[in-house]
Amino acid sequence: MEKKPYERPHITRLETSMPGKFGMRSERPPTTHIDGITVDSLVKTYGSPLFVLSENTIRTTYRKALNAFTTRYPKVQFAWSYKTNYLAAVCNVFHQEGAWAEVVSGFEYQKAIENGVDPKNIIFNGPVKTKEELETATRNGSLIHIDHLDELYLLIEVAENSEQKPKVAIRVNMDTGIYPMWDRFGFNYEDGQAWDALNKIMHSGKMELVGLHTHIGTFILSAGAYGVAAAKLAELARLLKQKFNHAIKYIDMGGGFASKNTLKGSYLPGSDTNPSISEFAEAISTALINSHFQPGELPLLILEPGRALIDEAGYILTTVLANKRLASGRRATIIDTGVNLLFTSFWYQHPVTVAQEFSQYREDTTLYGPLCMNIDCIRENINLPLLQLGDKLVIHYTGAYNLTQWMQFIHMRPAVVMIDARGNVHEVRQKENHHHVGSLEKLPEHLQI
Amino acid sequence: MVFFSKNRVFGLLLMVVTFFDVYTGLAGLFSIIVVNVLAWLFGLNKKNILAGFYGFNALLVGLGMGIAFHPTPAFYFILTFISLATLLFTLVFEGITSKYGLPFLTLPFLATIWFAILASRSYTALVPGESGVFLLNDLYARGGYMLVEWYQWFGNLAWPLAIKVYFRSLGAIFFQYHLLAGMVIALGLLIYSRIAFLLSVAGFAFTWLFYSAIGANMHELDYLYIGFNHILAAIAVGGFFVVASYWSLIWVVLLTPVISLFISGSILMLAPLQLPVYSLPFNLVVLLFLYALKFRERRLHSPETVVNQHYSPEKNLYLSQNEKIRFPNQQYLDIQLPFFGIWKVNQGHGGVYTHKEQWQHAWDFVIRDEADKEYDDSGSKRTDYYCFGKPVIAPAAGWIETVVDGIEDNEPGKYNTLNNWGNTVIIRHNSWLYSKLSHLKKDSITVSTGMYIQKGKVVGSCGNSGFAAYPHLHFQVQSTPYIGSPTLKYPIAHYLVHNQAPVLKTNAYPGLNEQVANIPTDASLLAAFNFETGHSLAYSTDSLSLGEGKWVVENDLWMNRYIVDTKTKARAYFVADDQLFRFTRFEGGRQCLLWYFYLAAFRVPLGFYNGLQVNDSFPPDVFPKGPLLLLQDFIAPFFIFLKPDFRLQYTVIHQDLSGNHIGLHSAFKPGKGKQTMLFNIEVFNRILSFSIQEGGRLITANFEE
Repeated sequence: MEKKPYERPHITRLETSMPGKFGMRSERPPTTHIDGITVDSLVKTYGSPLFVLSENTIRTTYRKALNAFTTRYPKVQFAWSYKTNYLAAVCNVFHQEGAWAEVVSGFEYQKAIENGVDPKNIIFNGPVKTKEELETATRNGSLIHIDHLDELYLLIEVAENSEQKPKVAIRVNMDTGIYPMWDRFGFNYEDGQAWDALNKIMHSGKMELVGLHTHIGTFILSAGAYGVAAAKLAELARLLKQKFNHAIKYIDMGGGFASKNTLKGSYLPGSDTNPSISEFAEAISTALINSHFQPGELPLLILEPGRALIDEAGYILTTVLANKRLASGRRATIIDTGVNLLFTSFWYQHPVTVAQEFSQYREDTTLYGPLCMNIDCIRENINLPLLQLGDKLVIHYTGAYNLTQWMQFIHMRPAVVMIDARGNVHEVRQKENHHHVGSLEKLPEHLQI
Repeated sequence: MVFFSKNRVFGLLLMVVTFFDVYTGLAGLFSIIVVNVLAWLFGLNKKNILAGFYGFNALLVGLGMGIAFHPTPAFYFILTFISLATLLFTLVFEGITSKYGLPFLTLPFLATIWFAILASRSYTALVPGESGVFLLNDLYARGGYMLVEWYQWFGNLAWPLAIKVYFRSLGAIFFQYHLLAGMVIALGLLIYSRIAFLLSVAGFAFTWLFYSAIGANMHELDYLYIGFNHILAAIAVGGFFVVASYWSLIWVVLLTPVISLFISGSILMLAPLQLPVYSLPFNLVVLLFLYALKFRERRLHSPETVVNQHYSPEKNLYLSQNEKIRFPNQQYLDIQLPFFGIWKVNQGHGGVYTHKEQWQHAWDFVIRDEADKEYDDSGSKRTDYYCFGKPVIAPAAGWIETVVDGIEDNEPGKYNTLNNWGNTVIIRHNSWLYSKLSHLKKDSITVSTGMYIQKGKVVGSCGNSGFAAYPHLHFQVQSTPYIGSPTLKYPIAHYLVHNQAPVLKTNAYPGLNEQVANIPTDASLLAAFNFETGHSLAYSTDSLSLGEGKWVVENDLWMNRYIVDTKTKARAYFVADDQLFRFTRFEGGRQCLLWYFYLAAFRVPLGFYNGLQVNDSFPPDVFPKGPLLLLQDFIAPFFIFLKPDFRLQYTVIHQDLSGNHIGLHSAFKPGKGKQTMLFNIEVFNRILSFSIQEGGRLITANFEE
């Protein structure tokens, strides 16, 4: 018989009453393996903390999401939202699955080109595009989504000096019955800005209007809002057909689909309450199919889901650095992952599980990161087993945004590994060292000691 | 036309034969001209006139009269009106026989010439000719002693009687009762069609055997040369109106005694009037046989009647065979799969659960994931099933016949035996074709009775109502409009099977466990292969022999569309819809770009699917001309050993919203040691370029609209 691990003494109140209306307390089983690889061996090889990505999960999530649309709508194309996670390895898994690239800056555009994406399959979104970037995108035949009138005028200028006609769409914002209503990106639908911009594009004759784009918000918890948005874009398409006899090639519904993460302040876990990708697909395709489009003339439906495709494929492996008791008597645990790596912990209650077997005893605790900053708290309140120094924890649903918004703040950024479908582990980003961080710095002569 | 041919060389040879006797030939020519001018003045169809449709009976009448009378002005005067009578008879017989879907053959000739012969006995201005009687005199008058010598040399040839009679019988068709005429005709027949020649020999041989065996009146053959009736009937029944095969040959044998019956009988019947029987027995037997064939229930099989007449036994055989291989189950109305995306056949035709007996030709479709599961989570809720709530679309345009809605969806594992079809939509596509979509989700049906629905429009959502334990879509085609009508075996026009690499199916029946999907049409391919009538395409090649030129798309009276090369007049017939472009046949000279294009784009699905491979089979006569093809022609009714192959593969050059750039790589494999030709067609909303690689030779052609 194996020797049982030591557990520190603790006191638990004995509860003899009936369970509450939510039944027994839910416990997450320990996560000892990810895609068949032990957490211990990963940490031993690549250090702690460690970002782990599951290629298998990315691909299955992608296929499932795509199927949810293709079984409801005849022509569907996904474009990978680079800002969600632009590690080359991640992008190329999506590109291998057939996704185009959706970029929001010249830097991301460059990245997509370097990843081998056909420039014609790059969607250039975002509120800021420089003249040079617009020129490149025009020359390459990329799809430029215009955000505001100044950009429209700039693009007309670019088009005048270019042999190619820029391929454009406009981003439209609108009231879809949800709060907050995003109106800072694109042209508003209700007050006629969008229709005005479309008229300007059509009358300019210098651009090829290929699509209509909207992105109603982020982590949307109501699928119905997408139905409203799709219907409004379809109406714009109908007006274009009527006035200019111009058929647009695609409708881009953006992303913003919720993942399984739980928003802070939610009463129930997100995996139970957030709409599934099927519900979003149902709302969008039903709205488009029931619009004026004839079956043979349905435009290509482009979607740019980010979070919903990658969140569940990312894990952070982390180690317990210290246990302490706060003045209130509350337990606190310090781990080596802070908000510098887990930016999303500001709005999500990321599920955290242990990586080894424990007894049934649990304790409420607060998880703090390693930063010397008061805000560095990963979970204010979480029920975890009796953790010891050096125990490993697994933070779930961390694939989206953290690998693009992480900061080199106080600590170096750790390595990122990807486990492929056959169970091979690949390091897809090296651990940083102080040379990487310092290499761009310059010390003026008079300050040298 | 007399020999069922439109072959020019054969026609020329036949003309030479008729002019063996110059005045007879002139009389024939005169009649043809008169009839065609009359037909034109009469306002008859020009294409029919030019095809000789009205002329060939007149030719025979002219020849028949020409041989009987001296070419005096009075003769030609009378012949004009005899020709008019021929035309009238032709129209009457056309009107009568076409109602029964039968040819009028040489009935107008028979009717006219009998009257003409009887009537001319009382026309004293006509001088009876003697060419039939005093042949040697005529020959001497025209060609001197040489011709007589020559003729006699032919006559004295020590050939078996049967062969001589065969040739003479052939000659007799054009009233030329001598060996040379028969030999020229036989040669022409051989050039026109190997099968027809074979049939003429076989038909005559059976006749000879039959006459010898039965002890029939041999004089009918060796003196009256009436045997040509057997020869013509053998060609008609053996390969022209019926596709040449073992079966057609058996029928030639079986009909031989019948013809002889008609010959002997009609000779005696017409004897009191002193009229020759001419081709009456042939007409009788062919019409009787063709009419009788129409009563078969087992249509189109052993022997198979020719549906599209190509005026050549070879073509009739090759194209009908090829059509059977390429387009089995071809229907008038295309039915597509009633859903978006890839679904799996859970129960196919003749399934083990419920698709039995009268209702066996139905499909149940579900959606399965990569692990082959139908549901996510536990599968205990309807909504766990992937297919539940997915849109169901109209498989073809039509009118909504019946809508049943309001039946509750079952929980998984339970079923409703009271309303076993559940929520159902029946669509009427035409008066004999209905499709039924069942077990739909409650309150999901968006159509109402009587409304018109386009192909691909949503009718409702997949559900679990009725006799359905788990959510699935039941789809069937039926010929009557009721819920519970028996199913009809009807193919899905075009679809892809995704079990491994995608495979294209045309007019087929999705089988159990097949992952099937509709073909997403590619706008760029569709635009490139959209050959509308009137469309023209200029090409230029880097080859001297192919040069430059222009293609024009035209259609004939029957709305068959074809591309015609304006320089060589070669035609490539094609059929195209929004899913598939395919060539059906090629006519004309092969020294042109169109010929290569016919080989290269023999079958092009208009939906792009990266890596999709398409296979097809050419008819044997695309094989390069030579001894092998000649041999194939001879034995074609029994065995086809030339099987030229077509292969096509897609590669995308790049995807583009203004149209995909697509490369089509195809290969023509003639087989039997002949070199494979490779083709490459580049497409971007139109055909950009076309290259041909044959051996070491590379030809590139560019197109301009």
